[in-house]
Order: sequence, then structure tokens, then C-alpha cells
Amino acid sequence: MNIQQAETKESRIMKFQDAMYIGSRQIGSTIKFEFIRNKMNLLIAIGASVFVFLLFFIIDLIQQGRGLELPESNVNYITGNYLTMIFPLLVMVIAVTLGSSIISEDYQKDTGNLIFPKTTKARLLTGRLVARFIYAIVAVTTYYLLVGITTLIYYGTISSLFFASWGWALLYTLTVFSVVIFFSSLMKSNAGTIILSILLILIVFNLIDQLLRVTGATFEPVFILTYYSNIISSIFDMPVERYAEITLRRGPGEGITVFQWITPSIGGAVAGMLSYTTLLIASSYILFRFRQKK
Amino acid sequence: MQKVAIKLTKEAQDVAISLQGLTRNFGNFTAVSDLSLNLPHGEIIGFLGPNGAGKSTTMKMIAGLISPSEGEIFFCKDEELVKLDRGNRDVILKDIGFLIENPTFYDHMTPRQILTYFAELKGYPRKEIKNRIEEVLELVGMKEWIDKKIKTFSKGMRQKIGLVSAFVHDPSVLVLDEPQTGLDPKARKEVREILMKLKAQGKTIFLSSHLLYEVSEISDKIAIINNGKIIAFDTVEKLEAKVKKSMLQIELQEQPENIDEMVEKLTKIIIDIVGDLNGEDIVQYNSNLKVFEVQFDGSAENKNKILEALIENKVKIAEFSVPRTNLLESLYIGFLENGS
Repeated sequence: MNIQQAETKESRIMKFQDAMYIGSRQIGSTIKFEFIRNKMNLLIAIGASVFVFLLFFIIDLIQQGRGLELPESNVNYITGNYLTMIFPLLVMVIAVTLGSSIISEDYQKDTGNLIFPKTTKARLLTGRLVARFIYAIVAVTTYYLLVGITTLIYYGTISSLFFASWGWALLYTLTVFSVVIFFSSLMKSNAGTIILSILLILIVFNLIDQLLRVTGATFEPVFILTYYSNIISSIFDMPVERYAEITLRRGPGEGITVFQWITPSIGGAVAGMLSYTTLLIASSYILFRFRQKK
Repeated sequence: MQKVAIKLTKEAQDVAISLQGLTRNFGNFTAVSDLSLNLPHGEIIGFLGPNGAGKSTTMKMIAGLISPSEGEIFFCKDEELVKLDRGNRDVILKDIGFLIENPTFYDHMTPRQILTYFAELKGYPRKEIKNRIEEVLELVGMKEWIDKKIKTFSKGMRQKIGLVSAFVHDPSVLVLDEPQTGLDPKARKEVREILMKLKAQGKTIFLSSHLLYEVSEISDKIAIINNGKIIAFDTVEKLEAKVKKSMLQIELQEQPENIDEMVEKLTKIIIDIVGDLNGEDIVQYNSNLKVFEVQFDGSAENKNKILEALIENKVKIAEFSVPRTNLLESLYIGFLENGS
């Protein structure tokens, strides 16, 4: 066999165009397929949003029934009732419901044998990430929609910062989502992904935060993911104090002074969450590729 | 400057896939070593080898799932053999269908949903996908299951869907890694029939298996791999001639009362024709099939002589044939033992 033809610049450009066209088409098909495949997970995530909203709404109704008046401003009503510490937990539930299976499922069930080599890991991950994050947006937005409607009914108006809070909530959801995806790329089962994600977000970050406080550390805990969730509610009062000094006492002595970081700055939150997301998604992709080569 | 395409010579014009000196190392272990093979258009090529011989590694290299440590893979495109590389992977592999090992499905999806996705991934025209899926499911006799959830399917049905997923986009070449493993005989027969239908449509099929019967029944050519190296590649008949070893099955019109006596009688009749065969039993009785099996060198001349000798000695024969499976088994073991 004789070599007849050499690769030219034009043929390289054509190859690139082919790859771009086929790649975008495959990502589109994956998004469509993931929408169909994750309908049930979407319903569960929306169900969780509605459930948490109803829980707080009922608590508020009971308080009103017992004579407690509504807060004076709609901002206080929103932050005091619906954007408490439970909201980041709801975000975590939504993220693990929609994201835990994103990579690990193909290894748990060997479904990868069927998918590859029909597409590449990069396109598959992009399509899945987009589809599932859109579903996560729907679930979080459902919660905000219910809170917004309720607020409008009670107050007839709503702070424009409510929409900023919604934006921060979506960015925080993306960051938590990237943590879940990272664990999904490491683990061989969905259950393992869920357990590790919950352990990290609920326990490990909390313990680190406690540890930093008691050691008297004064630096901002930018590496603690849950710290960024504070901006979702504190955005209504910006600029608020970034930290507080608290005195801890156990007995008659003077006690110790600790630093309690309250909220990140706007710039810091954007940079921190985007850095987290980029790093984790890039790491997930590298791990995913590494597993492909085995 | 990288050379990417090879104009075909006359001999190579029938080649659908050409593997040139493929080697794949995993650390110090060499799974595939200097493997070269030309797969002709429109044929079924069986790829046989024991577990761990390098079959799946070879298949995965063809699919681009793992890269060869050395060597190149060429696919025929527009009458040229084009080297597979990262840049042209999408375009080249578009016309190939793969089924890698045991496919597992998303259980709560239906064949229509999954096959639509796969057809779209492979760039099949969107407007024609609906009809194409109905057509391919009809081909495998599962049209009425098109909207049923896969979790309700048997293993054989799942395997058929896996097979369909490899050719739903109508590729001209199919690379199938052990498509019949774990299936019951009925399902294996159905898969064989599907593969024959696909061959009739002009598709080239590269089929790996360790199930000799499945391969021998449908393959035009067989490649035998052991320890990562191809030790034989040809038609069953030519492989037979190479090892000068074959088998005849003789079914008598009536089963003799004394089998040992008949084995002795047949041996005496045949021994002058086939020779000593290094002390191996020339004639054996297969009690399962109720036939006498005769070892010989596979030549057409000796086959005729044996038949004539049996007729001369008034042996009443009901059937006289060369069973491809047993022959292949014998060849396969012979090749593996000899190593080349």
C-alpha cells in the first residue's frame, strides 16, 4: 500500500469543523435524553422544594394563629422564614438527587459499555451537567417562586434583592452540584456519592469551621463551601459586617474571644464559588477520563 | 507532516478495517502484541481466543476506547484506508457500530428512547430515526416491545437491544465483542440469525467470541488469538489444511450392538488411508450424537477414499459429514497447543 495523501491545513480545519458540529449535536442529544431520563429525579427535587416551603409556611401560619405579627418588611419575612440554615440543606438534597448518578452510575451498572464509543466523555459530561443543572435550577426556582408569591400576597410588594438572592442561590447550587459530581467521578456507586457529599457538606465543613473558631484563627474560611451559602440571605442587607467577635465563657473567668465569619464579600463569593466549581468539574472530568482508560 | 490516508492497492480494495502491528501494554504486561489483520468487506470474521488472549483489548482499540501502544488502525472510507486518530475519530467511527462486552441498560427507559438517543449520537437523520427504530426492532422480532420498559426484558431481549444499538445508525461495519455470552441456546440462535441478516445486507462483521459453535456457524473467516498474538487467520477449510487435521462423522443406518467391535472394524478399514496419526485413536464413538468420529488429515482425496472404503466393506452409512464445530474445536485447540 502506498501513501498517497498528506494532511493539509484545509483538512485539519475540516476535521475541526466536523468535530465541532458532531460534538454540539451530541451534547444536544445528551441534554434531551437526560431530560427524559431524570424526570423522576426532577419530581423528587421539586417535591423537596415544595415540602420545605410548606413546612416553613405552616410554621409561620401557626405563629400568626397564636398572635405573632408578620415582620414589618418583606425582606425580614423572607430571610427570617424561608432563607434560614435549612435552605442550604435543601440545595444539597436537590444536588445529590440530580447529580449523584452523573458519572458513578455508568460504573455501577456497566452502562458505559453501551454508551462508549458512541460519544466522548467530555460531550457526555457536558450534556449531563447542563441537563441536570437546568433541572436543579427548576427545583430551586420552584422554591423561590413559592416564597415570592407568598410574600407578594402578604406584602403586595417584594424587594428587588429577592432576585439577587435567587441568583446567589443558583450559583451556590452549581457549586454544591460540582462537589457531588466530583464524588460521583470518584465513587463506584450512587449511594457512596450521596454519603460522601452529605458527610463533607454537613459534617466535615462544620467541624473545620468549629476548629478554626476555637483556635482563634482570624483568616476568612474561603475554602469552606458552606460559608458561601450565607450570602444568599445576607445579600438583602449588604454591606453587612463581614465577621463578629464573640466571647465564649464556660465559668466565672473572662472566657476566650473567637472570630465568627458571617458572610463573604460579593466579589469574594463570586470568585470563591466559581473557583470551587471550575476546579471540581475539571478534576471530575480528568478522573472520568482516567477511568475510561482502565 | 503526518500521513493520513492510503490509496488502496488492488489487493487491499476489499479491506474494511486494517490493523497494522497493534501492540498494547498495560505496565509490564503486553495484552496485544504486534497484531496485524485485514478484515474484508461484507464478511463475518470470527475472532476466537481463550479468556485473556487479547480479544477485548483489540476490540477496544478499534473502537478508540484505548489507544494502541504501537501500531495503527485504518478504516476504509471513500476507497481509501484512513488512519484512525484523535482528530478524525468522529467521522471515521460514524460508519462503525460497536457492542463492547455485556451491555447494561438504564432499566426505566424504553428501547425507543434509548435507540433514539444512540441514533442521534451517531448522526442518523433525525426525521428518519422513528422509522429506522421500528425497522430494526422488527428485524430482531421485538417491535411490539418498542415502548416497554427495559427492566421487564429477559437477558436475551436485552442482548438483542444491545445488538440493535450497535447498528441502529446503519453502519457498514459492526464490531461485536462476545454478543452471545451468557445467552441460552434459543437466544444465541436468534442472535446468529440476526447476524446473518445483517451480513445479507452487506455489512462487515468482526465478531469476537469464545463460543466456537457460534463463530463457526456463521463466520467466513476465523482469526485465532492467543497471548496477544494472531496465531491463525483464514477460512475454516484452509485452517484445516494448514494443520492437516480434521474430523469426519459417520452415522450408521443402525446402531451396532457392540460399539467397541465397530470402532475396531472401522479403524481397520480406515487405518491404511489415514496412517498412524502419532498413536491417536483414529475412530472414536460419540455417545451423545450416536456417531463414529474419524480423525484424518482433512484432504478431499482422503475423505473420498474413506467413503469408498466404507462402502466397499458394506458399512451401511446413514450420514457422512465434516462437522464444522468439532473440526474447529480440534483446530482451535491444535493451534493453541502449537502456538502457531
